[in-house]
Amino acid sequence: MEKKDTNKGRDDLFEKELLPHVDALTTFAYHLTYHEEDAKDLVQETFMKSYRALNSYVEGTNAKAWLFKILKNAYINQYRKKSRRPTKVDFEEFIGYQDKDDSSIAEYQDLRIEIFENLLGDEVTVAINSLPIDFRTVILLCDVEGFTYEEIARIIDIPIGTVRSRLHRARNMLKDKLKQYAESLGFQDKRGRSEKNDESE
Amino acid sequence: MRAPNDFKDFRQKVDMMLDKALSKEGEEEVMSKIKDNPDYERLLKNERNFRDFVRGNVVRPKVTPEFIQSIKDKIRIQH
Repeated sequence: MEKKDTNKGRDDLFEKELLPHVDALTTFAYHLTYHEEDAKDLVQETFMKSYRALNSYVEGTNAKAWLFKILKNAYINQYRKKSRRPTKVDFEEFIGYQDKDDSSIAEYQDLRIEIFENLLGDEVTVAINSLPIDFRTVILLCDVEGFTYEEIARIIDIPIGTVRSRLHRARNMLKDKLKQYAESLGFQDKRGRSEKNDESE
Repeated sequence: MRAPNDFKDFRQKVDMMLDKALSKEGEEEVMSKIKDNPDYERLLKNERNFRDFVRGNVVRPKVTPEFIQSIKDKIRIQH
């Protein structure tokens, strides 16, 4: 008899392999919903769905990626429409952005180390949350949670090449926003113009 | 002056290296280029700092024992 065939076996598996990811799931949910209570509801729903689908989970495999995919789908299905703070970029605008050719990948937004001294931690969250949802998602999955390109591709159902290009754009957008915050707090990039031009090649 | 394509290629490899998507040989190639070029070294340092800064400062809501218990309770109801 398989471990998953009894309630105790299922509960043990749930507590051993799924529940330890509650912190990471809550952080991800919070940055999707912008709201702690909505995030908790989303995480609870994710765990309920995962428990019901436990038969399709193979013990000892990538539980974290599996749970993130369930959470992402739950968010899309139920939470996106009723989000208390809708994404600032509407769908049409986002599609237009995506349809641009890939020449922007050649651009590189440099962010000097000194800039970090002018920023508070909260500004990272504000900046991330101001990104359009699809860009925010890849930053959270890769830079915050450490998923690989392959895992991200599976979680959000996009090709690996799109993961890479979206990450590149998302990071540039995030750096730009952080730079703007730092500048609003008095930071000035003192590099010469020629150096700037050279770096953006 | 750096050739633009070299820089673009190197920057992409740095991204992949920091995202743990580069082979061991690829990583060795990146590190070897860094030894010869202070601009490349600075780029790697800035990128690493940026990621550390984001990872270290993003808000992570606290998960309470009560919340974990409420999840367990809901699971038991499903039995």
